[in-house]
Amino acid sequence: MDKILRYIFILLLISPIAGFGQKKDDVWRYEGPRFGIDVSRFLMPYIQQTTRSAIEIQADYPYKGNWFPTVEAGYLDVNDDNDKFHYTNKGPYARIGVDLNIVKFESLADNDLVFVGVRYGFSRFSHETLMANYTNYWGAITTTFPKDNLNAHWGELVFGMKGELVRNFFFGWSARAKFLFAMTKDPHMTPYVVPGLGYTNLGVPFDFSLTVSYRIPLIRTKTMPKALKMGGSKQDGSEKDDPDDPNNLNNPNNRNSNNYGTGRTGGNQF
Amino acid sequence: MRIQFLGFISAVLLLASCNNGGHCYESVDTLMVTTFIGNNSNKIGPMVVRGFGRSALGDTLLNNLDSALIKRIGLPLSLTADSTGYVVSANGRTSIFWVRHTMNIQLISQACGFAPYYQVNATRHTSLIDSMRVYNPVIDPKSIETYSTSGQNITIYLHLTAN
Repeated sequence: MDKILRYIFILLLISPIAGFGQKKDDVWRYEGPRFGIDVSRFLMPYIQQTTRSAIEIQADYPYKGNWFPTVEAGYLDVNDDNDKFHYTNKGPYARIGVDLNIVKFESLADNDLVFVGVRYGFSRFSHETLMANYTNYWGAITTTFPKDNLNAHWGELVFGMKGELVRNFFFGWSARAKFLFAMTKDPHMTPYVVPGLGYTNLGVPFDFSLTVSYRIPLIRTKTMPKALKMGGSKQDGSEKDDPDDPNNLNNPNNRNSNNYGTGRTGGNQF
Repeated sequence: MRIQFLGFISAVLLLASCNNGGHCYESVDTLMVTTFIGNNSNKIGPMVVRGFGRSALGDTLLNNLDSALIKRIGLPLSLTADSTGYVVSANGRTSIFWVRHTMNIQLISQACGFAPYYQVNATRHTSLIDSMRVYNPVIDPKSIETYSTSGQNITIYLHLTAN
């Protein structure tokens, strides 16, 4: 119940932000590299009972409108000290991959994304058991396991959304399924968590992230990214007459500018 | 779009809040599942099992007064020594058996902590016991669940006389 109340509190914090929309009269489309930070890593200690502290930054860049090559990097520090054991695990991780926007942009100012993506993840980390206790009928034993450096490789399938809440500021979430490819073996113990991957005792670890990001508007354009054609769309010419198509000259929303080509600015519009 | 956006966030946060809270749902009791069987289909009467060298109050591992052809018990193994002994008293006679083993501590999970894993290498016994058979020398925290209704790590055949 306590966790549910925390969740509601976080949601209340988020909801007013979502009320800010883009200005309707902005007919330019801005593109550029987007840099973000995963705020869920900071919220996690309040949502879940965890001994982890982490930071993760993300960056992506639009390619042909709907593709977003993505880089993510982070650092995890686990310091799990309880009456049963004292375990530490820390190290950096990185992921590279690409997201694909699967919905059509509704206007030039529309930058909201619903995306699917893939990632390749890599981590080099160290872990150490400073104390492990066990007690049974015959008595108690306390042991330690030395520090060991390990590598892990994994893949991820990603689904998520990003919305432009204020111009150039995005808020988004993603859910991920992760698949461990390989990990160096520690002869003493298998780490129960891998930075960037999650818990190793789960067959397919699931994770989510909440990202706040800022897009550097390097490119200004009047050209809409072409909507993805899924499963062989009809090519009967009917699309040319689609009044909602921002690329359609018959679209009244696109008539308020005489520039229908791609334009680039030196940034003085911002 | 924004309603859907918040809806999904709500769902994700709700799911995230429904974690196991760090509770341990796995067994961390590493017990050697042992069955006692009387020879010649003789029933085992009142039986007491305790650790070798452990005679204080509360050191009894099993005190079963029923008569049965087979009796089952999960026995804890020593954490520090490489062999563990037990004293068995059944049908008015007493015997001792030892199990020689190796042990290593392994992590079960973050919530459950560590538990010992054993490998039985040899057994030894005195006269009441007719023989011992090791069915599965690997003893881990899952053994007690694996053999909860049937099967065992070792079977001890007691040399009983007909009542």
